[in-house]
Amino acid sequence: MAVDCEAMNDFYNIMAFAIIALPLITSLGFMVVPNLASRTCWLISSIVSLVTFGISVLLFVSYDTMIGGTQFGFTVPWMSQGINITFGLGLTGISASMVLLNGIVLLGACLISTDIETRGRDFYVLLLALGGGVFGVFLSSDLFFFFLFYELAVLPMYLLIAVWGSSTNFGSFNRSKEYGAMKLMMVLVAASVLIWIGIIAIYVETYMNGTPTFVFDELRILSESGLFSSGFQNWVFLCFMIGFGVLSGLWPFHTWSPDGHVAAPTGVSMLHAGVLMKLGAFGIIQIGIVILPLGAQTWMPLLMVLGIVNVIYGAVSAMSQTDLKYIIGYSSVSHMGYVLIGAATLNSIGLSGAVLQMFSHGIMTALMFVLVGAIYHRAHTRDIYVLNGLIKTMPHICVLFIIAGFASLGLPGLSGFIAEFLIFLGVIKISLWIAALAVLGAALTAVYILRLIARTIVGPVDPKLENLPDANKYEKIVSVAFASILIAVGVWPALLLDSINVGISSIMSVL
Amino acid sequence: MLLTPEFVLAGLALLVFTADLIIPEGKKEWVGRIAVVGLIGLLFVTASTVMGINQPVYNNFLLVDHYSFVFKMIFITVGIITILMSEEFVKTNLTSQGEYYGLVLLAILGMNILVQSQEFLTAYISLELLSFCLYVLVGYSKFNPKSNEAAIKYIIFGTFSSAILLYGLSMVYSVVGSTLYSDIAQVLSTSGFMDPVAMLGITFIMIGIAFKLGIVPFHSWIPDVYEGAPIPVTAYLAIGAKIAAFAFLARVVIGVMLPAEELWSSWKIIFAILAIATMVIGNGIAIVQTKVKRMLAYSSIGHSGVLLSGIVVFGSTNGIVLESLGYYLVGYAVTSVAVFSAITAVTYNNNIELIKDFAGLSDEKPLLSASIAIGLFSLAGLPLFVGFTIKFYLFSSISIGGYLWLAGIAVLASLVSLYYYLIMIKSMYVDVPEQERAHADITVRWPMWIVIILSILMTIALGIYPDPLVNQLNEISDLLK
Repeated sequence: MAVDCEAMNDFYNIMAFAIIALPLITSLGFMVVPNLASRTCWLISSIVSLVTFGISVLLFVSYDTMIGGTQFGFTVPWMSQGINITFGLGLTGISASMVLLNGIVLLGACLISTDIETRGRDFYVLLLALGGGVFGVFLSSDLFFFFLFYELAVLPMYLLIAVWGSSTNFGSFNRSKEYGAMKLMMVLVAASVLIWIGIIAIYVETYMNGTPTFVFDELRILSESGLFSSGFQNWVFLCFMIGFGVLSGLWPFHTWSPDGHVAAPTGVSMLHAGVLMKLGAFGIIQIGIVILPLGAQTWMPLLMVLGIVNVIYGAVSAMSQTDLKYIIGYSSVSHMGYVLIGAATLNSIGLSGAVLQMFSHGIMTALMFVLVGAIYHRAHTRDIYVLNGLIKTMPHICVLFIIAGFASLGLPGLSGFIAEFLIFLGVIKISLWIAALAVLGAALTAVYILRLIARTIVGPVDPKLENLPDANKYEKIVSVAFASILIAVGVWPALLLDSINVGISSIMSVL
Repeated sequence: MLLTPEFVLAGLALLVFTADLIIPEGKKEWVGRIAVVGLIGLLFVTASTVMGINQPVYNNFLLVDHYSFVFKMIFITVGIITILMSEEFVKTNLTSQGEYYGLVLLAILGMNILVQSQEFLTAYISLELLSFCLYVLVGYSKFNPKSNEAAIKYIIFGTFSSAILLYGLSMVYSVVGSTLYSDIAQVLSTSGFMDPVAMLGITFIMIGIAFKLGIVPFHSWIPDVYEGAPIPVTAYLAIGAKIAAFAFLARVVIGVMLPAEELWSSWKIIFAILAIATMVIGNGIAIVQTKVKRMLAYSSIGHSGVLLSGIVVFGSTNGIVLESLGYYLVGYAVTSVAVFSAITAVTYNNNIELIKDFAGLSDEKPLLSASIAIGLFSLAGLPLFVGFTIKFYLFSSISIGGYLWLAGIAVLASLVSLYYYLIMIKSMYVDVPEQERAHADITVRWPMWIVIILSILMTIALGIYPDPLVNQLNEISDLLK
């Protein structure tokens, strides 16, 4: 229930600003204070991410699902001469769950990064900048700052991966971390070029109309009044679809994702696969569909087809991988395919399924990266032919890996099932074939997940691996927490679906 | 007296040369410090005598207005920064140290008059003053063969391009009968004006200016000159001379070409094509560079291309073109100062030339490598730094002017630039140095630290809160109305 008095409103507005400012200011602070030990930085970052987690929960819980719309946040003019840019924040039904997701994953990423020894301070500078940038993207209510925070989230990636990441050496298959880092950075910035062009094109249209603005709500009103012609909407939505799609791992632009996530250190993989890929789908839904509905309707068949290719191609690729982390990477590509086909349905069931899948998959993939990172840290290999029967040596990690795997293949009782079910329901209204292929994708997921569990987790243990230690206390806390969220949302999806449905219904009014 | 700042500056230059005669060897940095103090005083003199004035001088040969005021302040500030940056380098590497500072001051004088001139002969003379000071500064490392080569190349290209400019001017004069911008504009704007001599003359003038700017295909001197020159001089070329040249081009376009609408509509297209070529070639060739200074040289060619595409939209019906260009120049200057000063600090007393020699810098000198990294991220256009905001602003203004496709190409060019900046950052942060403690002998003194820290702070501050600067620059847009 939202409290009506002014002071409470101001409090929430300040909270919305604080959740972005706090990580960024801490990051800046780390840069200027000399002689900070890695451990100190870890401690401060964990405290800061705990605070942002708290704020994200507060914002999520306080979002009034009865009223809906954009709540909290504020608007101040930022640049008034020439180009009309305002700095605005606001929370919608969809971004409420995304902010919560980022709060959770950022906390997890900070907590488990205890193994960063060299140049820990620089690591946390970049990690907190990444986290703060993502909060900014989800909370922005105008396009300029949306884009600014999006680019800010991409900025630290090269250094994070190239300095603290790990290379893959499999004899015949070698991918250095520098390669993964450069590929990720260049592909993501190239995608942002397309988004940039789209944003400027929209601004130019509003300028020619005499009402120059970047603000979402104003753009929505202008779009509803017919400012953007359907030809204009078609090409700009295509720019957005490909630009944001690349960030979501849209086939055939997905190749940065496995290489980048595998090379990245665990905390960064969690944030990137867990949250940043969702940013792309968020962009398509919150910006593309709302501001350019005609363009969305034109291109949705293509998105649907590419999305289902994601699902099948990602699943088949995951089946053939021998590096544990690559399996998770391609599994992410496959699951993002579900999000994309859900977004492409343009009906409320499909869209709410897509957003729920964004949240569910975010937690699930973050959990998997935690566990895989833990295994790698102890066994110093990710080769699934070498890793056998780990459940005997690392029971905690393995049990949670099984839970994460089941969430991935959509076992009822875990959040993945609800999300995929909603998406299938939405898709079947559009096309029976695509829905059939999507269900096939779920079956393929089961194949590679179960095969992975059968080989790596259960079975006879390799004597070299017998004496590995189990998870340390931070990994335990984080993994149990993430798994509990997966179970909680799976058993009681209304926790999230209430606010998601409110957000979706405000989008549906545009279509 | 409207030209007080120029007279004070000329007097200051002569004072500095005299001080050089008096101050003994070994303490020549005091000559530089006198110059810096004098320049800071000059900032106040300029602000108090010239701010807010809009008046022609000497029969319309010079125009003292807000546009020239803003750029004069920029040039003086760049001069101060250059001298602070050069102190260590000059002390360690150069002979005839005192004269270096005097030449920088005379170059500033040339820039100041160039940006005020309203007719071509004054512009030519001040351009030559600027160029001659730069020719000498480029060749200042007397015993470095690369520096000598760079100076010879620069002199030959420079005087050749000045000669072309003068030839074009003489052709225009033969048709128009005057060298004033306004008179030339009046003649050119008569409808149906197609006099071939005048057209050829304008073309030659533009070619001469394009040489100075480093626009493709007149850019070939830039890599060799930037590489051979002492690095503070490279910074001065990349920042100060470039801003001066663009301010001059903007004046010429506004004064001479905009009133002649048919002429301008064809020249727009030529500028657009040249801008695309410059961006593509500048950023493209930078990818394969292995030497730091050459990489920065090609990068600066790329930025010239972006600035030229900003000039393409002059005359469109929106008013933010000039201020977006000015904002870009200031932001580019601030960021380049950060990059160049940090690189100067790293390279001044050793012969590190290659990008791969920067390996391991982040371990030994974290603040210097962070400065270079922040500067390069800003040049690539990544946010929270001024480079992002200036690019967004400029590209928006280009798109509003109707050239969205040009802005799109410019954005792609900055994507390419991200790649080679990342190579440099990778070298500092990721690559393992061949020998341990390769950078242990780098020491940085306080004048350099002031420049580096201030420029980094400004890079971030102007990126986060640009409004005051943009408001100031907004007033120069009145020139276009």
